[in-house]
Amino acid sequence: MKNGPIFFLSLLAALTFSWVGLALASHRQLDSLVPYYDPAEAKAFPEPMPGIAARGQLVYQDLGCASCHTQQVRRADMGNDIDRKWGTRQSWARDYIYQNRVQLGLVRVGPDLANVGARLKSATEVYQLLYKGTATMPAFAFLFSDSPLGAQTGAIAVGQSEGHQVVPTRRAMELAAYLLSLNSPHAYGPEAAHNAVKPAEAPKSAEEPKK
Amino acid sequence: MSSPSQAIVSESDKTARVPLVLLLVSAFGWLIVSTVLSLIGTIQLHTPTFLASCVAFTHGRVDAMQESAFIYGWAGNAAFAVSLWLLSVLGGTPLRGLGLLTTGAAFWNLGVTAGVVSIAAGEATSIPFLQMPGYIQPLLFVAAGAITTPAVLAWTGRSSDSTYASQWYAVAAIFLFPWLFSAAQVMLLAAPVHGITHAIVANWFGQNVITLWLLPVAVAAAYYLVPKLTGRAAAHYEFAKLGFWSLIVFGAWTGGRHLIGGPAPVWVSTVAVVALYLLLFHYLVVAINLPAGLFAWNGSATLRFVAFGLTAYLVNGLADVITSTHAVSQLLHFTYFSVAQSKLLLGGAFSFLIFAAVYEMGPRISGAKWPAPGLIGTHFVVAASGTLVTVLGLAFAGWSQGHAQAETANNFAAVAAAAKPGLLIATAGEAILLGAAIIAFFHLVRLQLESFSTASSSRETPAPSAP
Amino acid sequence: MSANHSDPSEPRRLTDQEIIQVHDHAGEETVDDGGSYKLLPLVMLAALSSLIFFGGTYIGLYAGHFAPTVHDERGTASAVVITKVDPAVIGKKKYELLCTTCHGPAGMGTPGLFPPLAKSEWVVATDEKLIRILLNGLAGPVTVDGKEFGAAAGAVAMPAIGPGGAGWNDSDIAAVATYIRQAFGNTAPEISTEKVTEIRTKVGTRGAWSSAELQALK
Ligand code: HEC
Ligand code: HEC
Repeated sequence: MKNGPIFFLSLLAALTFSWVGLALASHRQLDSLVPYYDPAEAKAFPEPMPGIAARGQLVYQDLGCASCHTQQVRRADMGNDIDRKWGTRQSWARDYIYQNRVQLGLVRVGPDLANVGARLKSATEVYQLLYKGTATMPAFAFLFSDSPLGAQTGAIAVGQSEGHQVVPTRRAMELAAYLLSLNSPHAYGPEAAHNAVKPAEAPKSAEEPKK
Repeated sequence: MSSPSQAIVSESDKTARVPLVLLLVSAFGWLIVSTVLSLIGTIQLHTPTFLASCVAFTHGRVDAMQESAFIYGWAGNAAFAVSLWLLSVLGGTPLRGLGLLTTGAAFWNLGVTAGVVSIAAGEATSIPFLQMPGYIQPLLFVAAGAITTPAVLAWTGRSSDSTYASQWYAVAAIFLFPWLFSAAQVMLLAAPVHGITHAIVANWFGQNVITLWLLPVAVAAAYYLVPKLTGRAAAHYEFAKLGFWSLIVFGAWTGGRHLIGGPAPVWVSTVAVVALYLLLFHYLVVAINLPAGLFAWNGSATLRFVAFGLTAYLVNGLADVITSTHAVSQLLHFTYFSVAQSKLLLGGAFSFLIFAAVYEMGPRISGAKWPAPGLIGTHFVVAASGTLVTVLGLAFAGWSQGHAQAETANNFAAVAAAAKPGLLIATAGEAILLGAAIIAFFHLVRLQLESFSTASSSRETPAPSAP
Repeated sequence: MSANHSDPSEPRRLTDQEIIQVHDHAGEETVDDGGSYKLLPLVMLAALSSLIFFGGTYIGLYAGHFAPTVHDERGTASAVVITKVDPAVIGKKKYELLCTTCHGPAGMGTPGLFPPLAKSEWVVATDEKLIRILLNGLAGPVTVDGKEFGAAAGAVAMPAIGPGGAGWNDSDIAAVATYIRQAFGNTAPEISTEKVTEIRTKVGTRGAWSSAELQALK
């Protein structure tokens, strides 16, 4: 290590190499993923998020919902995500091409939300959950405001107490729209073909692929 | 036990005292902040109503604040201080550019404070390891530049051509961090990439903050302290260089480990798994180089910190490989087990090696002895038990959570019930860790107060000759 | 604790300069010890190279050919991508888009107004006729399944869906033709896009056919 400049250059090369290999390569590669046009549906998938849902994603970010929820379904032989009906198939990179800041998450304190839009019945259901919480999920009551009963708010009330009703704020509505938009069941052609493992090959129980 | 001997004072160099103490005191202050936040966050996991009505302390924000306070507040400040100091003492040269360094350190801490406050106000980026909002990041980057410049000067201006492993690790950390940081700021915030690429880049950055910035400083400290305190050279030192390069070269590719089974193309996680296996070589080298530190359980308190830190470091390396396998990953990925692992690495390996370094360096930069040497041993016992209880509690919680989730019939109330005992244990552990952090902080502050009174009683610290 | 200073068991500390010096030449003299190799370097070499060998093999096997669409380490990018969709599926969508309004979802038509497609000889008879009807439309009196349609003054005509009318492309026309030939109880062979193209080129754009003109075709 007597040679200073070479030492610095080697350090830089090691980092740059990993940057080119991981960051730049995946950037170039995943940029090639365009929406998949399905002739049968005469539509391209995934579909872009509506504007209100995109704003809802910012609420999701700032409240850090990702600290308890993932948004990535694992394949059938890796955990029971699909048995839990979190999705019909594994999440693929193409599902996220319209998202600026993916919310993959690291810990599942609560269920995976990648396709939660398919499970939620209405915005009201989301409001009930966020306003009251459950025994395991915290309430987000600060996303709601009090207004006099009968006031024209144009919003669905989630609760009432004498003379007052609890209505979702704009942020709550955006968040609900975001959650309801989360759903990508579509089986894109290339992914469907490239990840199909012949039933005989797919290990029934989860073992590490043989080395 | 670790009371400063004559040699420490003789090796003392107080010229860089102001900036280094500024970095250290802030670091230990941030450690208290992050431990409090960690405690709150863990309580919220088993009692979701805790502080739920307070938007600034909603779980997601507590999590993001805790991470920022820990990584940039505690670990960042401490890593800067230790690597600067190691480069100065091993380079045989006093630190230069102290004005720049002090200013940089002040702005770094202002930046982190502003960042943590803005997360509380709802500005978190939601990017792991880069939670502080985009408008704070350039300030942090410039401050980091100001802090690292004196380190580079200390390296290039070293008095001897020969260098030692600690210097390589410290230089690598100091030199690679700005590149890493700027690449991440551009690709994640300023001109962000989209979709899964964003997640891949974020993982590349987040993992390398640990692997290429924080851990090298901890390893540098270990390589320095073991020969220093045991009086014995590192064993089989001829492999040290290979060990160093294997960390830098292989470690840089481990980012994809969090994407195993996830929506990134499979090569990303496959490459990461292979890199984790290859890293085993690095751990092997550290183990054969520093057995004197690894098994120093009945040495001085400082050495016991080293022993704990090194053990945690090696255990974590193995755990990384094991949890990346298909069978284990499908069970424990996405559970508290991964939280336990990161606590073991950052709170165990990194923090303990840094504590050891601070116990060595504190007196030498302040020109005074630790006011209560016994407190070092107390700190060790409290910190070690706190870390063990927290890590084991979380690992147990994660294990139960993973098994409960694997039963499709279990709803999330049942999963939460299964994880609760472990989480309660971890909560107790966090509380103990808070005690440890407070002990360390006050000891450091008292050392500074002490050294001021020493300095005023005798203008010059007597510098007896080395034994 | 402070008594430990003088404790002889307390190891001597190395100075910073000593640390550098004692490590500076480490290893250099031990490489080749008069022909007898040391074991450890060989073990380390073996460890590193077997790790690298393992890593290389693992990447070769499980990196999914480095393709962006492979998410399963046993998946393979060379699998043939079948993007061809069953024309009947497209045909059904297309039918529901346009034809249901007049011919009804079950192809039963409306008595006296719109002829049925179920049991229609026009649908199952020659490709030539069906394709022409779809391309250019059909007007005037026509007998379908024994019933008279379009004879009344001001009767609605069958609109053209080819380039001169709704502007469908050949493959969509082929798809809808195939669909009506195989739905509603009809059974007739499918119609290929090539056949539609062939006839379209032959007849060009023109007004609606009359039943007599079509009957005149062989
Ligand atoms: C402390 C962890 C935690 C945080 C933070 C959290 N959740 Fe949850 N969430 C849970 C748990 C646990 C459940 C399961 C609740 C149950 O079944 O009782 C859940 C359930 C849900 C569900 C229902 C899912 C389904 O499958 O029906 C939705 C939707 C949801 N959360 C959205 C959110 C949003 C939006 C946020 C951020 C504002 C959030 N969560 C923050 C823990 C959390
Ligand atoms: C505006 C209403 C209308 C629409 C839309 C329409 N048709 Fe027709 N179709 C008619 C009428 C009316 C006739 C009878 C023409 C005549 O009287 O000469 C007819 C005749 C036909 C015939 C020949 C007679 C028979 O019943 O077999 C076929 C085949 C046919 N249509 C298929 C289609 C298909 C396929 C579509 C969708 C692409 C379609 N039509 C859309 C009104 C319509």
